[in-house]
Amino acid sequence: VTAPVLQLSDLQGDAQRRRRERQVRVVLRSAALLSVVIGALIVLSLVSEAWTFLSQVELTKLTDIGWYPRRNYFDVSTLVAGTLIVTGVAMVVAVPLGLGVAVYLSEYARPRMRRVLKPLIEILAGIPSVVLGFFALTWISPNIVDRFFSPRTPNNLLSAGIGVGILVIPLVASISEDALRAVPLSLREASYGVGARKVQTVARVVIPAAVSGLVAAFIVAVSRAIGETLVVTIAAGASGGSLFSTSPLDQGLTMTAAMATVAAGTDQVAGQGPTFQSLFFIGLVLFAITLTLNVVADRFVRRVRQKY
Amino acid sequence: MALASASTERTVLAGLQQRRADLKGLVFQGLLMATLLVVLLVLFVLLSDVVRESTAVLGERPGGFLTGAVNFTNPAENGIRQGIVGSVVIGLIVMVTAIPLGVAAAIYLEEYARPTRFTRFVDVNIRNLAGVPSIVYGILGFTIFVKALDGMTGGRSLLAGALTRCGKRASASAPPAGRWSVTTCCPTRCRASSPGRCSRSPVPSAKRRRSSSSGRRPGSSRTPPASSNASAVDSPPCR
Repeated sequence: VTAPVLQLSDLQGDAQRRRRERQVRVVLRSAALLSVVIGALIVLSLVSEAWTFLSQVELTKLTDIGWYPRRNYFDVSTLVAGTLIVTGVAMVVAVPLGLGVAVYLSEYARPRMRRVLKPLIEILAGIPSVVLGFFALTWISPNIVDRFFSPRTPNNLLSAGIGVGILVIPLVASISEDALRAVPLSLREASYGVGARKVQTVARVVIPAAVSGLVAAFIVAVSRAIGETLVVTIAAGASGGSLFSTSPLDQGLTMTAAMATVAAGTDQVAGQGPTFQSLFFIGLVLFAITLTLNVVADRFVRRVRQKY
Repeated sequence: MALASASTERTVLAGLQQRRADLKGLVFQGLLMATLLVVLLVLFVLLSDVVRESTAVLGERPGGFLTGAVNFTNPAENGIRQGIVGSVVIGLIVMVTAIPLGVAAAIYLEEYARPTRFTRFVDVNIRNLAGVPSIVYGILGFTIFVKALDGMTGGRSLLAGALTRCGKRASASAPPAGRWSVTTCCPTRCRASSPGRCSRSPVPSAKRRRSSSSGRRPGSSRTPPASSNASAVDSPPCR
């Protein structure tokens, strides 16, 4: 009598089971591949119409007095300037506040304090951008901007930028906090061990050790601020078009707000000149910018990240 | 004892016992608390402003405002029923379509796919899609659902945005160290941890692997693919 030898087929399970396993794999794989398809579709749908736009429009109109799509003035630099202003203001608001909250929560707050504070920050993260746009227009603009600056109009890029800044504070805070808490305790202990105080430990050990995550938080926040649509559409005011301006106290349009205003009037402009196609051109520029930022953030984090 | 002179002893003792005020530290902590207070203040002002302005309308006609139809000619009669219904319907459509797709994609990437270059491409692609502004998805939705599939609305492009967001959320939720070690028959087992946990608790991967495999039901054990043990050792770092 020989001992039963275990064959490979005994371990593989029966054919039906393997077939089912393969089917599940195919279904799941196609779901993952769908994301690639969506990415490709975005590029395709943008590129063809954007090309139509570029071939129809006179190229001098692309660098003219401002962005008035219904009068065939398509100065892209107006929109880029508006986007830069709003993003800059938003970062000035969000980075110090978000980073401060993150450092406090990660390094100073007691566990009980954290349990109270974290949900509060998450409430802020859960507020829809349309509510913040309304808040920027009806509260920030009269109570903050009008009081401390002298804007020419109640609708201006500054109040929109502050609104976007408030919107991205939770984003900065949560990514930064994750990065700070990922720094191992041993580094802090070593720092205390050589006699450093808390402030020295935080500023010279923990923050430098977490720098890759902090930069990632910054880039993600910039990308989000550039893509933010509703706050700027509601609060920055220039609905029909905008002259080129570099002042945050003026009315203005960002790339996203310009797209929103063109898209909202689609029925009136369909079929008349390249106004409608300009939507796709701006969309392509926007897509390229955010994609570049995301890729840069990804690379940066991969390169700087230190494995502990 | 005799080695240290009395004055040295005094100096050391003073250094150990004296509580010198750490001014810089206090200022730093004060600044941090100030930022926290500003953020909480913003939240408070925002919420109270919204509540104060909305109670004016809701207090006047609580039922009529919520259930009334849109009425542009007479603001006093305007209602938001249509808005509420629209939001709920969009939410339901997204739930039914985007969550299964996103979770399926996440399960594939975390549990099935070998770490090839293509898998990394899909992974990076999903993360990039999550960063694309919603208005660009709006254009995609317009192109597909309004122009290509004539007669449908562009609103359904919310699907695409929610899909990628969901996919990103879900793919971030698996602990990376355990991703290649759990066999394919229990893909949900290692998904119990919350997003972001991987970056917080630097548990050695060996420990986590042991805990995830010991949690497996005995009946469901089967031979893992030959590559699974090898790749568990050098699984990619957490994102």
